[in-house]
Amino acid sequence: MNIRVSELRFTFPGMQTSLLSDVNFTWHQGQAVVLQGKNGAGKSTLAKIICRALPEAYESGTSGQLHLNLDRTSPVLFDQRTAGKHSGTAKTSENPWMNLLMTERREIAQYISALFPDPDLQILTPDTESELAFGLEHQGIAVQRMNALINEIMHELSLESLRFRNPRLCSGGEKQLILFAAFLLMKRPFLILDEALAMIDNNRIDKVKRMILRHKQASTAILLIDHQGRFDDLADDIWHLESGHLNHYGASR
Amino acid sequence: MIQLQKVTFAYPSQIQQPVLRRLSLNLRMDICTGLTGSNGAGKTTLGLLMMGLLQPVDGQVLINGKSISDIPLHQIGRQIGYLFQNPRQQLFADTVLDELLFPFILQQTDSAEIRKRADKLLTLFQLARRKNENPLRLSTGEQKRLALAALMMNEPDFLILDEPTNSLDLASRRVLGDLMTERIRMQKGLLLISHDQPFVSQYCQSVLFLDDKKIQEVACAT
Repeated sequence: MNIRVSELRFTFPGMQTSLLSDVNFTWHQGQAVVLQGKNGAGKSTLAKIICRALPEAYESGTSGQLHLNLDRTSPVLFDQRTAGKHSGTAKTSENPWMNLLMTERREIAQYISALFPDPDLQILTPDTESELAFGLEHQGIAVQRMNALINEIMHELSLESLRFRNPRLCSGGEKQLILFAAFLLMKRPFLILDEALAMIDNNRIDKVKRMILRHKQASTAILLIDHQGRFDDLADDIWHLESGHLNHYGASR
Repeated sequence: MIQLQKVTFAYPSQIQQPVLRRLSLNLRMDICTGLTGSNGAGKTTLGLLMMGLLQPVDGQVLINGKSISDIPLHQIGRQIGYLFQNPRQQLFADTVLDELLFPFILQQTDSAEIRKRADKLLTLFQLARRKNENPLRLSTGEQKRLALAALMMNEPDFLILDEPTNSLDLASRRVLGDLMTERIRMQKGLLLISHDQPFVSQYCQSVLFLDDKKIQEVACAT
């Protein structure tokens, strides 16, 4: 599976200039990318467009092609501007290319998960254990298996003492750890981490990095936005957003 | 000086498990002190106690010898600027410029000098171009810079910055670093709560480590 974006241009409603102009990339499973750029360069906007979390982008102001290749039948690229209303979804055709601009958010969420900088916006349940169980329950994982997965990840991230605590009442770093664990458990093929690990302390960041690496090796595609440079050594590629353009660099490793 | 005297604090939902237990600390207000420690150690809680936004269960907090419970919150706010981890928690004006002018308009102390100060800060924090935009439309890093600029409008004697470098790009980190250096020169200190080891060691004269409900000084450059 890969996500292919070409000639993406996006302008916020009411703005004169495009925030993103001519952004091109292919992001595939097993590839870890660090997305860099100055504040306001459009990193989070790009992340949100990919996972359809930015309503403005689907109303107007966006052009270009964003497709998720589901590797089903032979790839036939088609243009969202000429495509029929529902033909963008893989479900309604044999076409393996899911048009991300025209697919329902809930369908995209089966493939792409994204954590954003503010954990308070993504916490859903009143205790840590339920927060970790939430995604697994929705996937219909058997209780026994679910408990084993939750115990394992809680142990790995030393979250046991938070098991029955309300995540909303935990510290900023703890909230980010809980959500990170919950999102890893969901095992989506594409994972976006937008400044989502910024508050995690230095004792645990190595553990977090090892877990990211493990998921990458198990063919998860990872996109990391981070200003502290803490994840550069995990990256296969560094992408840099500047003046609306995305430049590609090899990894610094 | 901000003093904590045998302060114990527990959140109401966790009353049996205090975050801080009989913690005593003298914090100089003329230097830059870093505060580090693992997630959940109580760093933010400590900052909120020093600001009077939380009340200790036991013990007391003093600012310049006066018990914080005897100082009205708005007075503390004028003296100490507080940057929350999440900048959205302290942005509420309709435009970037109003975010800086708001308290002055409210107190009818808005003046040409105030406007000049606002312009200068917006330029310093690279927000001048966006001064008519809605703060909620800015990126996370820009919101953080705006919250910092708004804090500086008051020219506070002391700052408590909770994870200020998160989401800041290199240029903005430098602006914040320069600002801290300038404040140290003017003997207006700050408490920097952060995991950002390189930043803490570059700019702080003293570093405190909070863990297991205890605090220790791990480094002191002065």
